[in-house]
Amino acid sequence: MAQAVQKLVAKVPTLIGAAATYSKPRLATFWHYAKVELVPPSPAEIPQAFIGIKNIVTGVNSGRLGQTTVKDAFRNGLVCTEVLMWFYIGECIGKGGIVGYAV
Amino acid sequence: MVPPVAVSPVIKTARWSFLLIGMFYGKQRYDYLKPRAEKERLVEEAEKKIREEQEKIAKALAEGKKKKKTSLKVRRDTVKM
Repeated sequence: MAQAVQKLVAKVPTLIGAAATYSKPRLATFWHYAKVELVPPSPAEIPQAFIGIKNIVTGVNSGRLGQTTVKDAFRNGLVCTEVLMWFYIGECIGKGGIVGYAV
Repeated sequence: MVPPVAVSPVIKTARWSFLLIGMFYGKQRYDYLKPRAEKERLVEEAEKKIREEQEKIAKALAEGKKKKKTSLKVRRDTVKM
């Protein structure tokens, strides 16, 4: 029993090394994309965002959005779902846990 | 590798604002639920005590009844003899 535990403990540094070599390139690609795609909006972009929302609203009112193809509508629906899910990620961060409230 | 896409400002602001609103909401809800959970725990403990007392009494009564039944049986047999 003690020998098995010793062997396991001796293996831990190699396991950590293997995990590091596996994850480093993947983290690098993630960072490569996140630096451009996931950054928060710069102060110059926030008014553009409001203009964009206004464009969407005028598009709805004029009926232009009724002309979107099913493919585009599906794609836009997926993007909207992803944006809404960030709310739940924020909620998990705020409540300090993933499942349920630890009261 | 595919070059990273330039995300529209609408989506960027929407994502980050939802993230911040979600964090705020989570913290608020947690602060709202925590004292209520404490109160409910106290109430639950008090009720549990009462329930256990009642169970003890019921158990004692049941044992007393069982004892009476067995002692009656014995007497009956001796009388028949």
